[in-house]
Amino acid sequence: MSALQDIVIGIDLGTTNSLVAVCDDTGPRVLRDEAGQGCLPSFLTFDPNGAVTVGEQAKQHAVENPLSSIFSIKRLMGRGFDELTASGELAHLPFRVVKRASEVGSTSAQQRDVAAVEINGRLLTPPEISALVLRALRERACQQLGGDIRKAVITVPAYFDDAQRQATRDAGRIAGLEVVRIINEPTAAALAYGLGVREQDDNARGSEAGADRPATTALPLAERGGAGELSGLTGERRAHESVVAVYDLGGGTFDVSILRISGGVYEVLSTHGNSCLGGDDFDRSIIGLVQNEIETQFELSIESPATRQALRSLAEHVKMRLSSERQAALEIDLGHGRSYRRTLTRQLFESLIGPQVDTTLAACRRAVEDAGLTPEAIDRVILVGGSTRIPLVRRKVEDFFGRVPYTALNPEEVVALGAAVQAAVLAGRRRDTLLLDVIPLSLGIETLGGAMSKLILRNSRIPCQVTERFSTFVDGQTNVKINVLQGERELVRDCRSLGEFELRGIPPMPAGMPKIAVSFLVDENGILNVSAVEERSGRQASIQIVPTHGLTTEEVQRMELEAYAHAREDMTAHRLIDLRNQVAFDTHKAERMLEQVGDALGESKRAEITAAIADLRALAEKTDDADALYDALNAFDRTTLKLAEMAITATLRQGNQARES
Amino acid sequence: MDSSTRPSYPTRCEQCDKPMDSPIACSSCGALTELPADAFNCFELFGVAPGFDIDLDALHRKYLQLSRLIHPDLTGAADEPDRRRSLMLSARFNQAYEVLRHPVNRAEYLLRLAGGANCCEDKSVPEDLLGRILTLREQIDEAREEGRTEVLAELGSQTRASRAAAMDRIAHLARVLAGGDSQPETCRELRQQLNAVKYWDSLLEQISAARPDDPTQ
Repeated sequence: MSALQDIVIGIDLGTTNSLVAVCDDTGPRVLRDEAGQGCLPSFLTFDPNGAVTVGEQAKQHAVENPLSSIFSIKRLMGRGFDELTASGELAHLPFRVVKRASEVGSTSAQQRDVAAVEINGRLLTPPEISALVLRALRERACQQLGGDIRKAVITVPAYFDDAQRQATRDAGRIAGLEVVRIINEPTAAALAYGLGVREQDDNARGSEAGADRPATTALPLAERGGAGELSGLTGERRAHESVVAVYDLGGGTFDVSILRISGGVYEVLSTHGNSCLGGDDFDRSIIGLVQNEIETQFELSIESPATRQALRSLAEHVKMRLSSERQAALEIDLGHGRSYRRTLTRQLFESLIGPQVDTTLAACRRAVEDAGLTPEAIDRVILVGGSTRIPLVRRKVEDFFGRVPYTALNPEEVVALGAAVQAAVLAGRRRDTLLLDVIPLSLGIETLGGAMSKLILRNSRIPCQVTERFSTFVDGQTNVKINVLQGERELVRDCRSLGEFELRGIPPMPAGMPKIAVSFLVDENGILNVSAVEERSGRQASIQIVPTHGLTTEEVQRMELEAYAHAREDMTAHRLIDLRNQVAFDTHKAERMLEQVGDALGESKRAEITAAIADLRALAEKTDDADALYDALNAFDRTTLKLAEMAITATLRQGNQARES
Repeated sequence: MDSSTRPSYPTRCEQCDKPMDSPIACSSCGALTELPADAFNCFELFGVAPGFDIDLDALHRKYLQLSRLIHPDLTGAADEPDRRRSLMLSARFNQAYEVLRHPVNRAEYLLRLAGGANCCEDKSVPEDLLGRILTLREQIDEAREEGRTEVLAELGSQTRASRAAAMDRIAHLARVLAGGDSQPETCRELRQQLNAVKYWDSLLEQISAARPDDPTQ
């Protein structure tokens, strides 16, 4: 039991998909569901009696239940209602987001602004919703590793600020996980790619072209004296080193990190990004186009949440099709015999998203500059995130860095794999790897006149610490308030306020006498810790933190207890629901295939399948034995294997005919 | 906090008695120092002699080598106090690396060790500086409004040249300080030149911000 409790899982908590991976002696691997899927869609549906479905089923149900479905919650993590409204983010989301009434800090001058989602009359904060996704992943890990898993490494976009990181850690706690580390997604990806160095070193050395490498090979990032210009701080080539750019464009976030890798040490030189740009935004550009055209052609505006949700999933589908095909047809039934039809070419799609892709390249340029390098000095470019499947993105990244990017590992799984590797390091299972990461945005405090005084500059190595001295303005003053900020701009109003830190318990002295040393420590998670000492008396000043956009410690504790109460619902029951849904899905699919290609099967085989469909449905309805149902489902899949093969062949044949004609 | 008159630090490991390159961790047995993280100045942490001229490659190698010994991920700290010590040591060590690897920070630090004023205590700048900065700032604004990127590029190289000249002077003065000659005039001029670099840097940022976000630039 103790051995299992020492296992630390790696979790990629994504905007559109989440994954869990584990690393053992054979290396890291993604844990898959019973259908073999690694990705768990970060979708949730809530039915009126409070039951929650997470994942693929929820995604499929979102069209029917747009108001009780939640997705893209990562875009709301650690952000306030007011800023989400101002940025126009909320206009794109069908579910209702409100400003959460404050539990504490009402006496504070600082206005707290925490967003929450209202679902079936219940208010849930983004960390609570993310916790449900984390819990589903944790259950998957518990089932497959056979026990109670309590520790995790969770990844966040490198460009996440302190509030967004805190929110992610809070989500882990609410899900009953000890978050042993928050690591940056691009860094995790580099770790996954660099893993096979020792084993692969000999046969991989000297192979420069990465494009046609087999998809399972790890890459020699820390290649010995490999090709490419290496330029360190002194502009000299260093042996045993490789400089890597990780371009990570996911569902809702974008990061670019420049790393120097040598002998198992992954040193992040700089990072840049946008925590609100990704595949979602590309979908939105298609949605915008279609909405406009429907409005002009039919004088109709799409108001119904169900239609909007349908349009959203159609747009995502079209976007994905356009990665492999030059054009995609789309059709929307508008009712009353009217339908909207058009063909969207890849060219048009590229012109829609081009400006957004260009902003990612501007971020690449700044990251390269901040690292003190030029694009030519980068030895390897790694693509991470589903949105890097888009040909335009690949082309532009290739042009910018002047080299073909590596894509050998699945861009959707590589972050989770890296998180699992770091989890193994922290569990003490590996000693060969060290991550040296940076803080993405400068940290500072508000000074007189509304100016931001920077204490820790962006791209500083973490952990790092700065001590600043404060005093009092009034005789006998016993507390001091400090507004802590994050951002690059000079004025407080252009930066993000992380929260108000109130120092209490300062011994009463004449104004200006106390010497309060406040230490700002950014820990290895990139999260700020503040402590203070009054140096004349040596007394530790206590600190109360009121996070501007986040939850207080008490709030997180309460939510954890609440979630725990909900979590006691039987895990088997949960699995049973998933299996029943799978039965419904598989039997329905088999019926459709029978209609389409069943004629080619013999009469007896057809009858056998029809009977098997009925039997499986009957079993699903009456049994409470999840294992038995799982076995029956597998047996059913074997029975219908031949049919499935025929259906696939038929589809391919149709496809070929279409191409020929 | 730091002082050049600090008593000498241990050069042999208290655990295994092997000689140590750096007083914070023993590369032979992995033992970490029992002393608080701020007991050493930045040069001492890296086990190098105080000075303006530093071999950056050697510094980087040492940074990686010592990071492996002190980073909380790898020390396998058994309890919270141990973990905390390793965390604070890493934080201090990372800060020291930032100080030593950037020439401006290094010069600032040498000035501080010599007892010179910091930038809040003495905000003065070389005589003709403010006039030059104002003129350039106007030219940048004008070029930005007219969208003349080639003028911006020219102003950029002018600014970089002025910054480089200030850096040359800083290097010279910092070497004099590190040589043990901490005359008040040397400290004061170094302070002014370091203040000047801040002005040049903010000007460069202004030029960079005025540049349109063209990724090919």
